[in-house]
Amino acid sequence: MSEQPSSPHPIREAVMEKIRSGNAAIRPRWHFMLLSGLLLVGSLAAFLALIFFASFVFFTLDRTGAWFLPAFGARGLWALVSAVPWLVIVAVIAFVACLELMALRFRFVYRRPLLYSLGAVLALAIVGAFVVGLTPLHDTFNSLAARSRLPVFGGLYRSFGPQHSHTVHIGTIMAVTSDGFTLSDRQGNIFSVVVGPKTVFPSGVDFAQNDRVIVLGPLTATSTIAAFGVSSIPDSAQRSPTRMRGWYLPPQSQ
Amino acid sequence: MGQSSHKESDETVAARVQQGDTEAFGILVDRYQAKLLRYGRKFIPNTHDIEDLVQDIFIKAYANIRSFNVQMRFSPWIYRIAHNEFINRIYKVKRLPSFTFDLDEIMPYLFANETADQEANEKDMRTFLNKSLSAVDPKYREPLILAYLEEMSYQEISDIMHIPVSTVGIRLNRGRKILKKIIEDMRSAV
Repeated sequence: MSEQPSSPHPIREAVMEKIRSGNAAIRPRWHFMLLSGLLLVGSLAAFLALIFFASFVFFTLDRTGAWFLPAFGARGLWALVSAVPWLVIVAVIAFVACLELMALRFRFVYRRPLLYSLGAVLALAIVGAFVVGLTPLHDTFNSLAARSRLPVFGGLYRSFGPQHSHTVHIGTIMAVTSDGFTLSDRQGNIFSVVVGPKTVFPSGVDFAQNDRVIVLGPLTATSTIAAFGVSSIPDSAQRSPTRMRGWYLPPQSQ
Repeated sequence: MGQSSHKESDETVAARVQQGDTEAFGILVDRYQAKLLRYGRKFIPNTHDIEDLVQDIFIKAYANIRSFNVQMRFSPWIYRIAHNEFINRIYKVKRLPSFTFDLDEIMPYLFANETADQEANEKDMRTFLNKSLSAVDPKYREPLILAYLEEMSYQEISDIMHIPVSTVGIRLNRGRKILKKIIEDMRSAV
């Protein structure tokens, strides 16, 4: 413990000489205030970006009906994988890491295990994304992007938004036809949905006009969807009193 | 200045430097140069230019003195600068990546502070730490140095290394076990 430096004076002399000669100067207080300000602004910007992108992921998954896709079996799972905006998820992870790195400069963060701060960042992102999801922000941006009237983020919505999935369609049944039904989506596009013997109906075949449904199937150039599967969306539009039973009904058990 | 400076706390002296009394910084250099040289030699034993590094640490501390909060303790603040300087030196020499992934810093752990029995062995620890430090993994070496040789608290070590307090406890416990094993091996060899 009583170890002494081999030459105790040179360091002091060298340091004080640099200070006296002006080769070492004290940085002004505003320098540190500026750094703190930049850190705060950077953290806030990263946080807002994180919430925006996280809510975008939820928005895309919600609008593409991702939650219902597993019910369609292997094809549904594949459609789910295709519907997930992976690049945006990578951006979300990058912003989480960025925010975590900035937060680690604060004592109340680095003194606790990383799991806590990471959990807090993720919880904030989920809550923030949920709150943004309650606003019409993404719907507005999405419709602006569809009309090429959204600068900066327009490409994001066109490339990774709900429209980027061409096999999953959500909308309202306009009319039941002999071979399926006509479907109107949120943007007002009308599609002719054709069902066949191989079409699966995870929620049953009890469809009617004004029902909200999710349709899995490729869209052709003639706005026709050859449905692999059709499922109703729970708690959707009001059911009409007169049910119009569908096509290729499974044999009744009674 | 000489007499009164011995009565002044580091924080008071630092406050004087912040207010423009540049000569007062010499007092801090006097107080910390031996400690930082010792810390540096234990931290990176195979480096010959420790004195240059410690000189750089003081220059950085001087330049950044206005970022020091005089309500806090000065000692962990300057050791933090030293830690960064030594770490940078190690990365530069060994060309190691500047980011490492350590599960100890991620997971919450329960740890116990030292008991009276353990404190009774502190003297032994210090003696063997000086002799056997190179046998200890660098990950455990620094907390051991700071705890036993520099007599820092867990919170202060956390502030210096920017790792969770629980991680400090875990690394000290593991480091102590490694040292005890070394001590036992040495004793059985004798």
